Amino acid sequence: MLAKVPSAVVTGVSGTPVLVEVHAGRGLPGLTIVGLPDASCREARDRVRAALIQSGFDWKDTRVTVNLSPSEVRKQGAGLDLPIALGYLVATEQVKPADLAGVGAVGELGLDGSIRAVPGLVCLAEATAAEHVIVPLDGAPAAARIAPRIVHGAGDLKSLVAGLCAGGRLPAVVEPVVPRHDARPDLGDLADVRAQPVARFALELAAAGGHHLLLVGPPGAGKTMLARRLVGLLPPLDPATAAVVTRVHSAAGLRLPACGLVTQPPLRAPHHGASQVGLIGGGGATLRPGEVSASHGGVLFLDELGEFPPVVLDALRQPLEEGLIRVARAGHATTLPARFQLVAAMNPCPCGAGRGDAGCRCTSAARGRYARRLSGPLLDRFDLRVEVQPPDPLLMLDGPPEESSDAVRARVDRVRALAAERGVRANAEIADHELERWTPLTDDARRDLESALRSGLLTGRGLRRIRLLARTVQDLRDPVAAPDVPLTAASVMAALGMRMPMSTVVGAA
Amino acid sequence: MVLDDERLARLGLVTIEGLWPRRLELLGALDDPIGSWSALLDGRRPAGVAGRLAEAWPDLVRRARAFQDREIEAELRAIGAEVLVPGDDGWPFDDDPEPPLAVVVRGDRDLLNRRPAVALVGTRRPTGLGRAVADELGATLAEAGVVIVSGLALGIDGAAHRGALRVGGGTIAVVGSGVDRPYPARHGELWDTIAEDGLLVSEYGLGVPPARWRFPARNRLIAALAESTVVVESQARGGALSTAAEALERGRSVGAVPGSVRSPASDGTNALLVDGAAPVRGAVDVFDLLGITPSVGRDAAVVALDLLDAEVARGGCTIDALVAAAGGDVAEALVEIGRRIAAGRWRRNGTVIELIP
Repeated sequence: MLAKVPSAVVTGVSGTPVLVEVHAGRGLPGLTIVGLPDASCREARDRVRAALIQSGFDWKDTRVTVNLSPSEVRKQGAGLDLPIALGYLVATEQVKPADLAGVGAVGELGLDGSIRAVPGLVCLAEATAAEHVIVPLDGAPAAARIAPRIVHGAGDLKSLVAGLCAGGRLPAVVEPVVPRHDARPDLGDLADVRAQPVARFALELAAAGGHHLLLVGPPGAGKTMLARRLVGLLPPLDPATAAVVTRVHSAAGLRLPACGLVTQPPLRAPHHGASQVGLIGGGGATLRPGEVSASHGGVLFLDELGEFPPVVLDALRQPLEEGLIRVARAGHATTLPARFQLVAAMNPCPCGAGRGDAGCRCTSAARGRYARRLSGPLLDRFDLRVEVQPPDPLLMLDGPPEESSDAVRARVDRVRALAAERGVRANAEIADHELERWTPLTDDARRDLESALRSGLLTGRGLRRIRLLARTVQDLRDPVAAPDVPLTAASVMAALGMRMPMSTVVGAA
Repeated sequence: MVLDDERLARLGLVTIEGLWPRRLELLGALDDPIGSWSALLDGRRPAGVAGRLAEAWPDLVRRARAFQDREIEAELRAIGAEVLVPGDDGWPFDDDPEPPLAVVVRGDRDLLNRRPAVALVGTRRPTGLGRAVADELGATLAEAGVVIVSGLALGIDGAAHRGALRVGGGTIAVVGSGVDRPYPARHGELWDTIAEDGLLVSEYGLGVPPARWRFPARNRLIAALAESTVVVESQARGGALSTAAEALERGRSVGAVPGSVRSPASDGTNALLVDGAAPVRGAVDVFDLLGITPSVGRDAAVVALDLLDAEVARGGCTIDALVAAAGGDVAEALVEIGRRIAAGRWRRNGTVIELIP
């Protein structure tokens, strides 16, 4: 007899519906899976068999064919274990077809019959073409929040089927949990950042205006600590972004919060030794999202920027411009969301000293190599380019107490509210054609910018970015102003001060 | 300006050749300038005049009469100079033990009465470092509203004046010749600038050429015009040390910039320190010397930043240190730092900010 169980597979961050058809009939006993399954999918045969037997069901001596439709879509992963098992039970008449009508399923089976979560569960539940979807308990909250389906969480095959046989009873419906915005992961408080006023200001500007931030400083200056604290300053994700981030994290196999929905901006800090695919995404047949996408809506922190392979740094340009990344592999392609705030840290020169001519031991050739690696276009994307020094230990002990993250976040929120009046999430996103409208200049400010241009401190792109940064500076200092109040010379000058000249960034080779 | 008899008499006495201080004293000009002057014009020799002075008497009389024939008023007006005598509004030498008979000023007269004022003096043959220190002190102090007094000599003097002018501050040059006789020649341009934007002061009349003996004499006026005198660099002997001595005689404080014991250009200043002068490492120390906290109508944080010029001058410091010392308002501090860099006074070298020498 024939059974059909709706399910899905994942590509990138979207699911593709798959119909699992199971036919049991006469023939040489065995189970065949057709419909472009990859190795992990073909292994379902052995898992399903063991799980069924362990759960107390019969493994019949019949010829079983499993077809995964549509057959031209490559199927990967163990998420189809559960629908195959359910289909087998219906096809071999151990479960009545009516009890499984309108029910889809997603999940991996353990040999003991337990139902386990798979990456991309959220997208899978979403794509499954059925009113009710059975998913693994672990991961059910996320699926319940995002997918427009009635989601049932199941822990093991035996009790699941027992319920189905007792009058088609499905496991309990998983109700969406209301996420708690105040439940912030412990990323440290800004009050810990002492005796580094410039770095603190940079974080505040970055959080308020969404500007990409480059921290230049020797090892031990606290660059990683600063990046973590930036995330703590960002406002929670808006619902649409939260849904996307949850999907991405699910597809990337990252741990989701207990409530299911990722509501806080993520922080991803990949090591420069990570593979290109791991960073950019597109791994495996599912085109798994990389770190760049996992940081969507949050912060991508690249420590030792100069050590990343140039090909990776080049690949960052598209997401920085468009907020997404296109990955193409043989046979299929997809776009992955990748709108992140880039925070990078680097040494001022290869030896890390950078304290003027006297302290640096680098040869000019070494500096030149370093500089070429990080040339123009990428560095130009950083609105904020500041140097950080290890704080003076005496000031750390005896200095005045610093403002906490909460106090700074209050200001950040006000600036974001101003940005919203300008129709953007943050000032850094103000489009070119809106520049004159939202960042008009006073005469003094115009003069200062002109002289910066003449002295070669600014490029054309730099000029545009500095206006946006100056906008944020002024918003922070005067958060009750109208959204289009002209920029003062002081705002422009302070913005210029927060954007080291390129030549200084690369050690003035 | 109308030159009354007294003004004319005093001006004549400090203009005509051959009347140095000792002779003026012998003539009784210090107590009764009008009497002395009319004696010269009349040609009747006062009782005390004898010896060499008596021999020179006829020449002096001739020169006095020639002076009387000059169109002094027009000459003064032509170059925008004025004559100040005791009793004039703003005459700064009332309590001085050795006041000049008169001074000719050219430029911004208000500077004479602007407080505080600091004398920055030193050798005519400084090291590059000394020159930079003088320049930076001049600029930093002037920007905080302090008037910089010096002698327009080559070396330290010139650097101090230039520092003050660069930031649009006030500066007074006390010179050893007539205010229409630029000296030294290499400072011709600086001379004109100070006549325009600062103030030239001379205790000699128009047309008086520079002479060796006049420079030590003008040092006492430099000391008299300033609350404190700071010697930036000086060899074991030098005019700057005499300025310091004049300051001490007037009960004014004296500071000296410490230098290497191997640098001859610091022998004099180091000796001053041994004798108890206040060490001056930067503008901060000068403010201490003056006993004031600078706040000339400006933001406290900004003024604090001014003080940091001294910090930067000492060998560069990081932005964080600058901001912390400027009171912690990063944006405010960045504006000030940016302006200094734009003005070409500071530069970034790697991660430190330093002076442009």
